Amino acid sequence: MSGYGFSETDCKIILKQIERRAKFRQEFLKLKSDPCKHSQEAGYVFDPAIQRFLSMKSCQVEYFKPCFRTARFAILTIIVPMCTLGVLIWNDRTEREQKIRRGELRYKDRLFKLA
Amino acid sequence: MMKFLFMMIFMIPLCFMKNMFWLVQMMLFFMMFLFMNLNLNIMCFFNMSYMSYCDIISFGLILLSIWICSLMIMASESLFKLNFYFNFFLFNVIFLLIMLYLTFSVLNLLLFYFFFEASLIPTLLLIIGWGYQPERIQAGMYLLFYTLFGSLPLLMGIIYIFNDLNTMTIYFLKFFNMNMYLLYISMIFAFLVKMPMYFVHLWLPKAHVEAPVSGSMILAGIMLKLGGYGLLRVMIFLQEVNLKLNYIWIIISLVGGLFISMKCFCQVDMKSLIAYSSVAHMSMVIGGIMVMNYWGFIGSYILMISHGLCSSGMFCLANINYERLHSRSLYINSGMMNFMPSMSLWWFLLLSSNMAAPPSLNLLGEISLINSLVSWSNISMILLMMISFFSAGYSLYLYSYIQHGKYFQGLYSFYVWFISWVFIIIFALISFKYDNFKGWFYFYLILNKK
Repeated sequence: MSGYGFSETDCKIILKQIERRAKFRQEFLKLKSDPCKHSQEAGYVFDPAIQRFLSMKSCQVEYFKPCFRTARFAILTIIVPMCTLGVLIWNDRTEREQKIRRGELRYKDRLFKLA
Repeated sequence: MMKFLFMMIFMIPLCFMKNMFWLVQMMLFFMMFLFMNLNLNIMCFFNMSYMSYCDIISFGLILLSIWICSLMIMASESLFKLNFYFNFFLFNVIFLLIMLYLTFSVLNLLLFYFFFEASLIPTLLLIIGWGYQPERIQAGMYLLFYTLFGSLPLLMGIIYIFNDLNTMTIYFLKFFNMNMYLLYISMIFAFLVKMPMYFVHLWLPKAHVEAPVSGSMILAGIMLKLGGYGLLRVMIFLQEVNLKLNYIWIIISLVGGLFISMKCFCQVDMKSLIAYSSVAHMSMVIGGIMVMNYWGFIGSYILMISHGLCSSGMFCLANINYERLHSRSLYINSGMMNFMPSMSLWWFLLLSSNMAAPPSLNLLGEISLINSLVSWSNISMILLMMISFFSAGYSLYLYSYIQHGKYFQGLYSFYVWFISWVFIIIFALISFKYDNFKGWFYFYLILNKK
């Protein structure tokens, strides 16, 4: 393999990886094709990586620590848009109400009369 | 009305007899058939007695309760097969149905509160008794304490109303106008927690995910609608103060619904995704009720019914996958069309209804709600557009992830299909489509009468 642009060390590492991968593949195929395993025991071949990921997702909230950074994120992304929209909607509705009271918006021009 | 109450009470001894699992389930179908044939008058109260009554809102929700309870029993066939306390499970379901029936049919506000709270007990027992993971205990506590925290002010408000008006009859409250801010907050907070509104929604993903299939179905199908029903009832005498303060709830629910819709894309758990989508839909329902116009009320009611059917069906489908693969993860449950192509039809029909695709009842509800919210303010159009867009997005994301692509290579073999599941899904969809035609027909009638 050293003739293909790899050094001796790289070759050894690649061969070890191939060997390890083949060993895991054999183990996986052996577990998957075990005739005594069926969905009553477990639905799929147990994978520690998937289990670690699923456990991480389910316990994520417990590792949350409020700090200045998270508080700033919450205020800027949640509170500020809500307040901004609130002000915009309030102004829009107040202006429409004032137009109606001043007679600038005639009854026939009002939308959603029968809603 | 009493006949249905007696029928449910006398079904309780049946739950403890041998081999009565399917008889109890069939009796619930029979009861639903009887209830459907009541002399329904859509424009006023009917079947009025000293303690109970029925109008179009109560009628629809009681019908939905009976239907969902019968589907719950059908979906929990594995408890019967494995002989896992199915007698007590049946008793739990019947007791819950009695509480829900009484909640929707009593005239007295205090009794409504009593049965509203009482329905939590069997739900808690369902989650803790038949749930799957150890986290169900924490989920049960979240459910219980969130609802109790919100409903204690409601009890104080009801007692204040009785002190002031000398009546707690829901029918007579329409003659009064309680223009008090503290009373308003205390009366509606419990229902906003129950819906749930954003900021007080944390109990819902926990409870839905940790509950068994029956618990998830009843939570999504009816328990959330208790909040909507309560809001529809108490708004009658809180109109004036609501017109001043509704900005707060509408903006929180619409913006919160948008954030929750985006959060759906981050989920790897099927049930968690469906639970968050329930919050997004209920945010529109809250908006429609708070706007206080006719289309808002109608749209909220229709969306409550349609979401109850659709969401229960989706939890049922998620459980079908879970029973076979023992995982709710999207990574494990991918490429299911390779194994269960007929199931992909049901997933598609229910998810397309979830995204309010025509001709579903969800579409009718969302159109009405969009009309009512846009009539309230044009700026809400932006939020509604994004909520609807993301609703379609996460529904398609869920469908394509579960059904399309390569399946997980590490799956063991499993039974693909039980005939009973066919009936559950067909019944869920038939009722949905039947309600759809009925819904459009009633919508046309109501508009013409108006």
